[in-house]
Amino acid sequence: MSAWRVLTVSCGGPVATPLCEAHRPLLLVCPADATGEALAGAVAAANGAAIVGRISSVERLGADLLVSRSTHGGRLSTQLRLKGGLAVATAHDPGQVDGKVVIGAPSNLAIDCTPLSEDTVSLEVADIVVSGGRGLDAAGFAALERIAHALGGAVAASLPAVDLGLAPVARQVGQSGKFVNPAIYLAAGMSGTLQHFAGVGPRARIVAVNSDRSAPVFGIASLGVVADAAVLLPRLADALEGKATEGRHAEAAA
Amino acid sequence: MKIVVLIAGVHDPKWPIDAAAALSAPGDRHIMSPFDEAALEMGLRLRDAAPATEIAVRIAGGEGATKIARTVLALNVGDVAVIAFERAWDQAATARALAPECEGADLVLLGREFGDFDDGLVPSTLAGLLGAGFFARAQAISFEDGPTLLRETGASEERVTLSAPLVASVTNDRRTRLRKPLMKNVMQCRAATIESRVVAASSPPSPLILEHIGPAAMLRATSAYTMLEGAIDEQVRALADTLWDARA
Repeated sequence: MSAWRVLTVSCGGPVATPLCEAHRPLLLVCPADATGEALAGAVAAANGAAIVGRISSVERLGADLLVSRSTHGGRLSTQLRLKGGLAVATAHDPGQVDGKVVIGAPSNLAIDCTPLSEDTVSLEVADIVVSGGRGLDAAGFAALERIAHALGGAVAASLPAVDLGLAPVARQVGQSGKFVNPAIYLAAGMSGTLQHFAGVGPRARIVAVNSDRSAPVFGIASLGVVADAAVLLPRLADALEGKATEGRHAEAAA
Repeated sequence: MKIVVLIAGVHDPKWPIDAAAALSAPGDRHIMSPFDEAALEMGLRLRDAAPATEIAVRIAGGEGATKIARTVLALNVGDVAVIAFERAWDQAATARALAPECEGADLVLLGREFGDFDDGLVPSTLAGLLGAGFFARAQAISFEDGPTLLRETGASEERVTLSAPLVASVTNDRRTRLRKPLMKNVMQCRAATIESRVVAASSPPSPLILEHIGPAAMLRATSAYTMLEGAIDEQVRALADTLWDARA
């Protein structure tokens, strides 16, 4: 019988609190976002905890705990065995756990915040995400903005596209970016690396647009279009804006 | 100001990787990640603004990181060493091994992920071990009102002024693309001697065991695939209908 308890953690209170020795073996699972990562690190440092990273599954094996995670940009899978003590992890979906705990905020750093005037849909909650890679240029991303606006969706980007300055890093999806799980994920001008699609949840239906029929992205898409995105995306934006206008007229007439 | 820049390096994604390559010395396929490059560039900009700034750069990967070290030397950084970890796959051990390298630093800069085995927990753990403030995912640096790190969260821009000891993890951003070294410097550094050492975590034996490492499974099924054929106008029409119908 495993004595391990697995608890999800939410952030609250002023400081990271050292945890009681009696509550072990214990795995604390923080959210896989910037706040969760900061909290997990603070707890690990304050308590001498083991770190198992961003986990995808947890399994009890006798007295041990076996956790799985991906490494090397999602190209390798790693299993780690925990023999006891305290461990911290992060997860997008912690699965079934034994309970929840609130632990103090990791830092009292003085940070000045200036709200940005952003009237777009939040990437994390968008039901439709339209994403561009380095196969697009600034005009391509402008077309993606129009498409997202017409659909009530959000624009995302791959790491190379962000590196090229085509989109802000807040829009970066992937192993090293945000995790999204929309109904539709339009991937335009990107090859389809594991690193990028590690940031797209299993619910998403992938729609791929690429001029190269052999691009790996077509291997994970449920719908594909072999086309020059520079030609297709502006026309797609026109078509969707036309539908949106028709919809507004129909509503006004009703 | 004393700055320590920690460079993890990653296995070049252009090359295939297996378990043996992941756990062995990385050799000439060990390159700086975009996050490493941004952290280094941020340190160089701070030195540009205040030439008395001291920069030390520590590069993970042991002897295999020598190529990266020569690039850093060519950017006129004098204090460069390569380090190797006994348990590179263990994020807590990595953070504990890095901590002594950062003693006395006013600012520690490192990528938001410290290498292929990290997914963002090494920087925050290191900050905790050092008792320093932690600023995650810094994107740019400003000097208008003193050196200030910036990041955007989507809803807001956040700034922290450099004062007390701070660990900042740095993410990729077009404003911090790494500069190129002068060719004459590159030539001069080809034969430079690089300090190399193994660093061990000063902590009790870890309860963590690496059980298995291997190729990742395919993330998605490839069944039920449809290709929209035809002229561009037909493709646009069909795609527009699909996306329009998918709205919540």
